[in-house]
Formats: sequence, C-alpha cells, structure tokens
Amino acid sequence: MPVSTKIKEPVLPPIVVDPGSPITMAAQITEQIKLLIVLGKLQPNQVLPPLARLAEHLGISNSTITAVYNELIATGYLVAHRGKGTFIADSPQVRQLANRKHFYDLLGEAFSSASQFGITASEFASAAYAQAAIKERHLLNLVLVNFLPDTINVIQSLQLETGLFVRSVEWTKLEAKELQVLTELAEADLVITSTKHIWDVANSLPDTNTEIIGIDVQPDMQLLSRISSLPRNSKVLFVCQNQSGSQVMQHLTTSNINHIESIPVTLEWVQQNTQSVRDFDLVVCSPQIESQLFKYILHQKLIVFGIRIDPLNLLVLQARLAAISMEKSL
Amino acid sequence: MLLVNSQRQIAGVSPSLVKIWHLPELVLRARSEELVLNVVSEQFGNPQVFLREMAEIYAKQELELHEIIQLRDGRHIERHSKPLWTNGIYAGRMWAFKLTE
Repeated sequence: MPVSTKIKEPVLPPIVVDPGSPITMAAQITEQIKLLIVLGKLQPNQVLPPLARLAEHLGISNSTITAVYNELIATGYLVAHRGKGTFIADSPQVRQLANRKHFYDLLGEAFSSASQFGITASEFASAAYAQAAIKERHLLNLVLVNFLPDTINVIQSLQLETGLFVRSVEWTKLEAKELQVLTELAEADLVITSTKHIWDVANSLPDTNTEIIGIDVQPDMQLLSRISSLPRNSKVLFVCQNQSGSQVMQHLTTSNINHIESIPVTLEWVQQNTQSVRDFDLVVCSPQIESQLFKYILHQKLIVFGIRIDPLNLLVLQARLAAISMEKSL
Repeated sequence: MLLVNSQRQIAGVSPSLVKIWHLPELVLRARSEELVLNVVSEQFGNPQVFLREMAEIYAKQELELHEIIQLRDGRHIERHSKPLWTNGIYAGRMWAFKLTE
C-alpha cells in the first residue's frame, strides 16, 4: 500500500513503441512495463506517469494507455489510488514476475542470436509465437491431486524434480465431483497423488485410462539430520499458521523417529507463550512464517520445514514422463 | 496400466486395471505387487505357472514382452511389459493390459 510520504516522483519509463509491429501498441506497452518490473527499473509502490502524460510522450492515444493500465490493474500488476495515481502493485503477481528473470534473460539471449541473422524484433516476435504454439501442443499436462496443506509445498518440489509445470487440484474438490476439476483431470496426460490415495483418486476419475502415479514426500535431509543429531528426549516444536499444518509437518517428520518429544502448535500460540518457547531445543516452522518467528526464537534453534520426494517412485515418475513426452512428440 | 517401482511396490495404476483384473480395494491399498499377483494368478488356469513366469520376468530387467494370454474365464488379454529406466537407473516395470474382442 503506497504511503504518500514514500511516493516517488513519476518518471517516464523507457518504453518504445513500433507502429509497424504486428503486435498491438497496447500489448507492446504492457509487456514492456512487465519487463521493466523484472529488471527492477519499476518497483512495487512506484508511481507511474499519468496516462495523458505517457500517451503524449509515446505519441499515442489516451485510450490505448487507459487500456494498458486497466489490463495491468485487472491482472494485479498495477494498483490505482484515487487522487494519488497509478502504482506498481506490491502484489504476489509482481513478486512472481520478478522470479521469472531467468526466462526474460533467455528471451534476450535468443533475440541476440536472432539479430545476428538479420531477424527484426517483429519477425522475432512472430517466430517466437510460432515456436511456442507448436511446443505447447507437446507440453505435458500434469495435475497433482493434493492431499497435503499448502504449507507443504509439494508442487514446488515436483516442478523442481521434473522441470515441468504442474497444476494442483484439491482432493476435496475432486471428491465433490466439481466439473472444472473433472475436466482438468480428464485432459491430464498424467495424474500425480500421494501413494496412500491412489485408490481414492482412481475411483473418482472420469476416464478409466488416466494414468495415476503415487509419490511420497519426506522431510529434506537437512531437517532429518538436524533432528537425528538431537539428544534423546529433546523437545521439538512444530509451528505453522494453523494447527493442521503443524500436525502434518510433525507427522511427516516423526513417523520414523522416536527419540524426541514433539508438539505441533500455531504461530499464535508461539506469540502468546514466548517464555515456554525457550524451553524447546528446536523449532521447525513452515517457510511462510519463518520471518515472524525471529523475534521469539534464537536463529540457531530455528529450522525451516523443507521436503523432498521419495526417490523410489520419483524415478518411476521421471521414466514415465520421458516416455509420454516422446509419445506426444511423434 | 500398472506401474511397479524397483522395490516391487505399486507406484501407479489406471482405473481400468481394477476392472480388468477385478482387484479388491484392500489389495490396491496395500500397495504390494505380491498381493496383486496372488489375486491375478487365481484367474489363470495354472496359478503356479503364472507366478513362476512372473518371477522369471522380474529376474530379467531388460526383458520386454508383448503377448496375448487366456484367462480361466475364457477372456483373452493383451499383456505388454517393459522396464522403466531413468538416466540409466532401473526405476521399475510398466505393465499394460487390454481386453481383446
């Protein structure tokens, strides 16, 4: 949320437009604003020039800039404050964009290579679209039917291990036979779920030929080795925003460990029992609340809960992904 | 479709597998391929021969097979099996079945 004292003077962003491009003026400006965010040249809470000023600077109509600003507001990249102006939003969308720097760097490198062959920016855009359109047909459509709370970031681990985008649907929505979820699963090349729930998912799928692979998640090696090295009867606290998340972290961690005493609690409990927290030898927290625990817990006693996917079935998943990918490309 | 990992635990299925082999829920929930094979073997004319043949298949990691088999109830099933490899590491085995007309 922008505060008036922190508002920077609006500066004209270094945007260029090409009226001869096959890409619309609005799309050119929209994508350049996003790129400037990725490059850090436009930052959250930074004010943008009034639309009339930007339109005049670029020599285009006010309505085009209005369309750009409206589109970026609707998609969460900008935020408008009455009487103050339009700002880069401090939103998950903007943070997510900043995480895509590697992708933008690759695009930059691709264009550098293309320009050596005399390919213009417009030709590059069209060629990139053609390539993407063909690739998209061969991309694997993976869906995870998730039984774990969001605090256990299975999607991130899966994407890291497979190098592929994975969509997540909640088990409760599949169980309720929500149409959108059934459609997503019917279109999936492969459905992933926890090994314990393969049967439940198999029973709920509309298409009897859908392939389902089960995976198990475990705490990462850093956490396991830290807990294993604790003396007998050490006290370990598991902290999450909510109780069920803490219980899942505790269950996953201690299912094969019995030399420690562990208690799952909420962040609120920690905030209300700061004295008691000091009695614990180790505090395991979800990544989302780590920064909020620093003022209650010594840095050395705090460890973030991380997971890894059990390698046995991960190997099966990777083998099947390679085979399905090959079948799709034929 | 049945996917078995390198420890011969069930790693994946397709719902059609359950229908073809009439597998009970408890057997699948146990995730043990051994239990599945026991149930399946009873559907062959000679269960012992089937189980011995399966042991031979697993003994030969590289083996691929594609054949039609006949069940005790008269049904014919296409059976395909091949090993799963990830970066040269044996990951398990895939089985695919299809009822023939």
